[in-house]
Amino acid sequence: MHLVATIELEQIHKTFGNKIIFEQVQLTARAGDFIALLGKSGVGKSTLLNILVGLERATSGSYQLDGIEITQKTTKEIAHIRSEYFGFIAQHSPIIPGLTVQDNICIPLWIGKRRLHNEQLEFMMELCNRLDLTKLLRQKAGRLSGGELQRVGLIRALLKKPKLIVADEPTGALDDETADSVILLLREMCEQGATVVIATHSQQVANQCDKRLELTSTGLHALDVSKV
Amino acid sequence: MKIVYLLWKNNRGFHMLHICLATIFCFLLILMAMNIFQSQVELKATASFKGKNLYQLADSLYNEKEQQFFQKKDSYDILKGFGDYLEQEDRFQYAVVNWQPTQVMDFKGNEVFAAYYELGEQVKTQNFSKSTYSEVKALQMNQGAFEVFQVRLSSGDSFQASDYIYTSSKDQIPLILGAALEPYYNLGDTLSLRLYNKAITGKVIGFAAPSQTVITARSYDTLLDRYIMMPALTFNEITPSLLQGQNDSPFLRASLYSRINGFMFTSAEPQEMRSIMSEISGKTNFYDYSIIGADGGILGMLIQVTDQNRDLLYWTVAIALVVILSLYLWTLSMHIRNNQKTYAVLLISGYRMQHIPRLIAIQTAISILLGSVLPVLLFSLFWKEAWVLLLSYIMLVLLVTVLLTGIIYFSSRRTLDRTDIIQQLKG
Repeated sequence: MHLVATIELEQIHKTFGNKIIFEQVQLTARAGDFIALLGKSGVGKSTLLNILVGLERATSGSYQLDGIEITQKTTKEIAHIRSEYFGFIAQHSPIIPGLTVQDNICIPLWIGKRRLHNEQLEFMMELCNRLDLTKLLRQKAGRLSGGELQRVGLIRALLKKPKLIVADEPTGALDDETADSVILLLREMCEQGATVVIATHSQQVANQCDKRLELTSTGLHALDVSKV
Repeated sequence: MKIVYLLWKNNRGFHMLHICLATIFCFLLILMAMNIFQSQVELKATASFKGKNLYQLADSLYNEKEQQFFQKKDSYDILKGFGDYLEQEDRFQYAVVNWQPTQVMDFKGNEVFAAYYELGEQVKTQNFSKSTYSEVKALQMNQGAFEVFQVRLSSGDSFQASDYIYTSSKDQIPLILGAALEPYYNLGDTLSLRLYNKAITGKVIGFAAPSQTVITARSYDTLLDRYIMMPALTFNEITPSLLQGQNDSPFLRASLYSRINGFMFTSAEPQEMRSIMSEISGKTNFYDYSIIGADGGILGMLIQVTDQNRDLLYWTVAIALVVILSLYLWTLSMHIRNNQKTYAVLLISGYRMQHIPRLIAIQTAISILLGSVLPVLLFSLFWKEAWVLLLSYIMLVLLVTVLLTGIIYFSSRRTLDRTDIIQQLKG
C-alpha cells in the first residue's frame, strides 16, 4: 500500500456513553494541506485527532484514507497503517523515562522492526539540530523538561517521514522562537507531500496554517482569517 | 525483541526484583517436586507393610545360656538352620537390618559417619598392624530387607544371592554405600574392614539413592545415607575350616546371630505367629528366642506420620507459593500502572492495545525462566543422580511458566482496560 494521505471524513459522529461529543463532522484534506483545528476546550479536538490516527474509532460515519474505508479495518491493520504512514504528536508527549532520548526517538523504527539507516540517522540529526536536541541524545529522557519532551515527541513522529502528521497542541510547551521552528518544520513536511492536521489554541500558530477549521458539537466549520 | 530489551532497560530494578521472586518461586517449586518425589519413595516403601503386623525376633543367648548352647556340637548348625528357615518362610516377610558398626582402615569420610555421631561422639579410631581403623556406621542386611524397604540404588548393582554366602576361601564381600559416602568413594573401590574383629575386604558395588529409611532395632526411621550396607552373611555349611581361625569363630557366631535377630512383617495375629514360630523351632531345634510383638498400630502410625509430614510440607510450600505469586502479581499491577506513558509511546508508534498484555506476558515468561536457572544449577550439582526429579522440575517450571504467563496476560488486559491510556494522551 502506498499512501498519499487524502482524507475524507463523512458524517463522523462520536459519543461517550449517552454524551454526544460531536456529530456530522465533514473533512476533506489532500496531500500538502496544512490544517489548523480550533475549538473550545473539551469540544473533542483530541478525540478527532485520535480518530484520524486510528487510536479511537468513530461511533458512526465514514473515514476514508486514499479511498480506503478505515472504519472497516481491523485494529491490527490500523496499527500497521499508523506505524507506517502516520506520525502522531500527543499534547503531553509521552516518553519512556529510563531510555535515552535517542532510544525514545527511534521507538517507531524498532516497532516496525527496522534498523536506523544512515539516511534516517542523518535526518534525525538534522531534526535534532534544528530543534536544539543534539546534546541531549544520550541523556535519559526522564530528566527532560516539558518543552524538550514535546520536541522529542515531534522528532519521533517525523522520523519515518509520515504521510499524515497529526499534532495535538505541538507548541503548547514551547517558547515563541522554538514554536516557530516547529511550525516551519511541519510546513516543510507539507511541502514534501505530507498532510498535517494540528489542534491548537494559539492564534499565531493557526495563522501560519493554510486552512483553519473550528470544531463544535455540530461539526467542523471553516473560519476566515479575520475570525481567528 | 528489541522492544522487550528496551523495556528491560527502562525497568531494570523491577525486572531484577521479579527475577529474584521467580528464583524464590522456583526454589519452592523444587522443594515441592522433591517433596512429592520423597513422598512417593516413602509411600512405596511403606506400601509393602501397610496393614501388616510387625514382630521383632531377639535371641536370648547370653552369659551362661550362651556358653551352654555352644557346648552342643551342632550349635552352629542349629543357628544356621533356624536362620535358613526364617529366610525361606513364606507366611511372613523376614528382614534383617542389623545395626552393627564396622571398622574401616584409612576411612575417607568425615565425623558424620562415626557410629555414634548423633549422640555427640567423634570417630573412634584403633590401630591394628600399624594401620588406623575408624569405627563407622554399618548395617548388615538380607535380601528380604532390600525387598521390604524397597531400597533403590542410584548407581551400581545390588547384592546377588551368592553375595550372602560366606566361605573360608572368600576374602572379599560386596558393599553398598549410602548416598552421603558418594563424594568419598567410587564404584570398584576396596575398603579394608574389621568386622567382629575379622579383617575382611569390602568392595563398593553400588550406591543407595538418597533419603531412604529402614527400620532397625535402634530406630524405626534409620536414614541410609550415612551407612555402609553389607550382606547379612550366611554359610553353605559349617565346615571345620570355618571354625579353625582364632578370629573366625566370633565372626561366625556373630554373623549367625545377626541373621536370627530380624523383623517379621505379616498379617498373622500374635497367636498364629507363635504357632508358626513353634513349628520352625520344632524343625530346627532352636528355642532360645523371644518375639517382641508390635501390632499394626505402630506401622500405621509410621505411615500416618509420613503422611502428616508430607501434608505439612505441602501446605507450607503451597502457602509460600501463594504469597510469592500474590507479591508477583501485585508488583506487576503497580508496574503496569506506573508504565502507562511507556505503553502510550508504544501505542502512538504503531502498537495495538492487545500487543501490550502480550509484551508483559513475554517479560514475565523470561523472568520466570531466568529465575529457574539458579535452582536448576544448584539442583544439578547436588542431586546429580535424580535426573527423573530434574526432568519433573523442568516440566513443572514450564507448566507454571505457561500458566502464570496466561494469568498475567489476562490480568494485565483487565488492568489496562480499567486505565484508559488513550484518554490520558489528551489534555
